[in-house]
This record gives sequence, C-alpha cells and structure tokens, in this order.
Amino acid sequence: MKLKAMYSFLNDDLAAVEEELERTVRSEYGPLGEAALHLLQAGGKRIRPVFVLLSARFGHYDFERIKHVAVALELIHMASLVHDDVIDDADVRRGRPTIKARWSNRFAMYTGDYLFARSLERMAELDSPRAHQVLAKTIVEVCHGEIEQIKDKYRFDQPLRTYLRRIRRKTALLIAASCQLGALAAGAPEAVANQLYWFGHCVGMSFQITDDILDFTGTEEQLGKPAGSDLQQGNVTLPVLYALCDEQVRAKITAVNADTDAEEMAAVLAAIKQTDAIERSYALSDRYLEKALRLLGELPANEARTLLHDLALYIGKRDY
Amino acid sequence: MNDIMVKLASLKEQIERLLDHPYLRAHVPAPAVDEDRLLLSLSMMTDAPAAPNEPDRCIIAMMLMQIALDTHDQVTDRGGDLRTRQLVVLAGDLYSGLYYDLLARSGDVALIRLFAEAVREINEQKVRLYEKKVERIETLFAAVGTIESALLAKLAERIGAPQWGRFSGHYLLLRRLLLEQEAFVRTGSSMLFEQMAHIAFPWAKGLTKEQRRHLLRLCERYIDHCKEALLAANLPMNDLLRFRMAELAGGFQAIVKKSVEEG
Repeated sequence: MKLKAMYSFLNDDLAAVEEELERTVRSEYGPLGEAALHLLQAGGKRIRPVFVLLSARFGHYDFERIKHVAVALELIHMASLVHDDVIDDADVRRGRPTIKARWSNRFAMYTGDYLFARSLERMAELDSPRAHQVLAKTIVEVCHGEIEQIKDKYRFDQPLRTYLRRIRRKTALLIAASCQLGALAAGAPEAVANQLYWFGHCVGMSFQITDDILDFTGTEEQLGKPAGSDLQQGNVTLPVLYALCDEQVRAKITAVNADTDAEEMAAVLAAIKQTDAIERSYALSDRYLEKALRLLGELPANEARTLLHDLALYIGKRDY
Repeated sequence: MNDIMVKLASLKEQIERLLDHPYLRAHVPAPAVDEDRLLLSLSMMTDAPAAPNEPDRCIIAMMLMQIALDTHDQVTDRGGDLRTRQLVVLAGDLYSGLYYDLLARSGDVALIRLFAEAVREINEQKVRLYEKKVERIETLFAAVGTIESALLAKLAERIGAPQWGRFSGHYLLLRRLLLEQEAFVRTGSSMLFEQMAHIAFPWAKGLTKEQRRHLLRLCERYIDHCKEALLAANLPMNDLLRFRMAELAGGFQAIVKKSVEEG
C-alpha cells in the first residue's frame, strides 16, 4: 500500500500542511522562496508532519494549533537537507538538482538558515516553553550526531554502540520529537507524550537501519545514487560493522576510500552481501520495530494508533 | 570603565565556553566573539525600561546566533579542504541550535520569534547582495545595515529600547563601511564597492580614477550620515562605548580623506 493511501483520513490536514509549507517558505525576496519551493516541490514522504498529526490525536486535536508544529518540523528537516547537500557535495536529491548544485554552496547556506528561521517563527506560534525545549534539545543533538558522523568516517574499528548513538542523533531523535511534540501541542498527558517519544525513537532507529541496508541492496535508480555510496564516503553503517566480523571481507572493506573505483566497490558490495550482515541488520531493525509496536500497544486504542502501527511497519519494511 | 570591561570579559568567556567543542576546535577556526556587539547589547540592557529577567542569557543567545550566521558566511563555493567545509557548515548549525536551546530554556518564546524574524531578514538581504540584485545605492546600504544589525535591533525591540536598535544599526553600519572603504583603498577589492560599482556603473569593465573617487565620495557621505546619527542619538553611554565611538569616528578616516583629495 502507498504511504499516502495509508493515512487517507489525514489527507485534508496534510494538504493544509502542504499549503502552509508553501506559504511559509515564500520569501519577500523571490530567489530564496524559489529555492525553498524547488526543494518542497521535489516531494518527500512528509513523515514528520504525519507523526505530529497522528500523535496529536492522543490529546485535544486542534489542527489550527498542531499545524504550526507539523510545519516547523518539516522545515527543520528541509533546512538540514539543504545543508547536508553542501556537506555531502551532492548534486541530485529526489531526482532533481540540489540547491547547492543549481545555485551554489553559499546560496544553499543562506537558504538553509532562512528555512531554519521560518521554522522557528512557525514554532513560536506555540507559546509552550516545554515544546521549544524539546525541539531545541533535539536540534542540538542532531548537530552533534552529524559532527560525529564526520569524525567517525572510515573508522572501521568503531563499536556498535557508536553507530547506534550516531543514528539515534542523526535520525531517530527528530522522529521521536515529532511524536512527542504532536502530543504535547495537543495537551496529551506527559506520560502519553513520553511513550510516543520512545515509539518514535524506535521507529526512527529502524528507519535508519533500513536506510543503511538499502544502500547495499537498492539499485541506483531506487536510491538516486550508486549503491554503496555511504561506504565509499566513509560512513560505517550497520551492515558494514557486521560484515567486518568476517576476516576476509574485513580486509576488502578497510581498503575502501574515497578514490575506490566502481569495479572495486562492486566487489566489496558483493563480498558484504555474501556474509550474513544484511540479515543481521534486518534482525536488529526488526527488534526496534517490535519494541516500537509494543510501546504503541500500551497507548489508548484509537484510529491514530492503528495508523501509527501501519506506518511503523511500512517504514521498517520498506524496500526503497 | 573597569566594571563594564569585567562584565564584557565574563560574557565573552561564557560564550566561548558554550562554543567549545573539542573536535571542532581541532579542525575549524575558532569563532570570533564580536566585542562591539557585546558592548552595544550590554549598554542597551542597562538603559532598558523592560530588561528581561535574564539579560545575560538574551545577550549570549543573540551572540550565538550572530556567530552561527558569520560561520556560515565562511562556506565557500569551491576550493578548500572538504572536511573543513563540512565542519564549518555543521559548526554554524550547532551554534544556531545552541541559541535556540538557550532561549527555550528561559522560556522566552517572544525573543525566539524576534530573533527568527531577524535571521530571516538577514538571509533575505544576504541573498540579495550575493545575487547582485540591488538596483539602488540606498537599498544596498539598507541591506548591509540589516545584515549587520537586525539581531541587535530585535533585542532592542524586545526590551523596549528601539532607540538603541537604531543606534546599533548606525554604529555597525559605520564600522562595516569603514572596513569596506579601507579594503577598497588598500587593495582595490571590497564586496560593498563592487556592488556599488555594479549599480553606479553597470556597464563599466574596470573603474576609472574618477569613478573610484565617485564611489569613495558616496561611501563617505554614508559614513558622515552614520556619524551624525550616532551623535544625535544622545543616549546615556558608558565610558567604553564612548571611547569606541571616538575610535571609530577617527582613525582611518584621515587617510581616506587624503586619498580622496589626492585622487
């Protein structure tokens, strides 16, 4: 089932969020708005707004209030994508030229900062210091995670714990915060908001592990970049860590660097796939998913809970 | 003067402590803490009718955001070491996160909104300059003014002291104009003068002596305007700010005047 079909009862609100996003990123000075719209129109799953809206159903759902959080979180995510493309020197995202490729690095920096500012302006519509504290802490942690990612590049001796902490900061925290903030903005009990936070955390961990697996199992067409790109850039992900347990494969992996050519990379990928690294990675992703579903099961039963269940499964089991 | 210098040093130390990150410290240039901005914000706080409960926190948050923006200005379009560029991007992101975190902890949502508005305006103007889409000299100087002082102006708005926002605007614009003028006279290269030339002489391939003199005169006029506005502000000033103003108004000006006269 397509993601959007899954949460069709949210469609009106999601369409409204989309309109709000468009309205918010428009700039009095044209080119900035054009760049932001360029990114917005490239699409995306809008997972964070969906988590916000669904989590808000555990409190007093008032779309006029909740929408600010949904918009703010998507804008934070967009801002990070624009800057990530400068970091990764990426020319294509979702099949379209990145802002840094179409304009320039400097322009991308300004666009990212502009989107960050717009996000906080929207978030400030919510006069809840607690919500701001959650989001601010998340943003700082995400930045620490990204810095760690640079620090840990080509560090093939890193423990599993380091990888897990990195993906927690890089991906899981923003999804966790989306769930928690949706609930908080709707005035749900603190215990429910916390439970949703941990649900989001586990889904986010599963999401990132799946993403890291897909870097090895996906096709260039599905991924929008050659398979194995993460490894070639020095990102030591879960399948790599498991494959490193095999002595023969270990030698091949540790020889990878930024200059490794396509043929050599193909051989390394084939060697990794011959180990049990992919299966073990899926197993860990599944464990996070199971935990997420267990946490969800403890929440009050409602339509949102059913959808969060389906969404978690979709995210954890997606094949591209 | 001693008290204010001690206070400035204390604020600077607190900011540096917040900015300190072992890995970044080892790989990217340490961010500079602008003492003029600190001094201006401290001065406006002491003269504010509605100073917030935690004035230091507001000042530090503003400085962190300014440093974040300045850090991102160092990202180049090409060349340079890739890892350094990556870390400069992330350092700026981290500093802006720290600004938000600080204000969120104090629960000052109004200031979060005001600073966010400033960041939006600053980036709109930066893009405008970057794309060389400014058509009038007045607009160019206004854009530079916004970039330099929008955050301080919002801080002044928050504490009910808009006169200090205007004062800071003139002060920082004056400082920037003097720096650009100095760069232009000494090296022939300045972002501001390049933009002025683009507006005043759009078809010129290179500048003649007369055209250079014209641009310097234009800049001089704005410098005089800023100085007049600063003097007319008549705000209660501490000794250090008075000293800095006198320093700003003198110094390099004499060399420039001579150079304009001699052509």
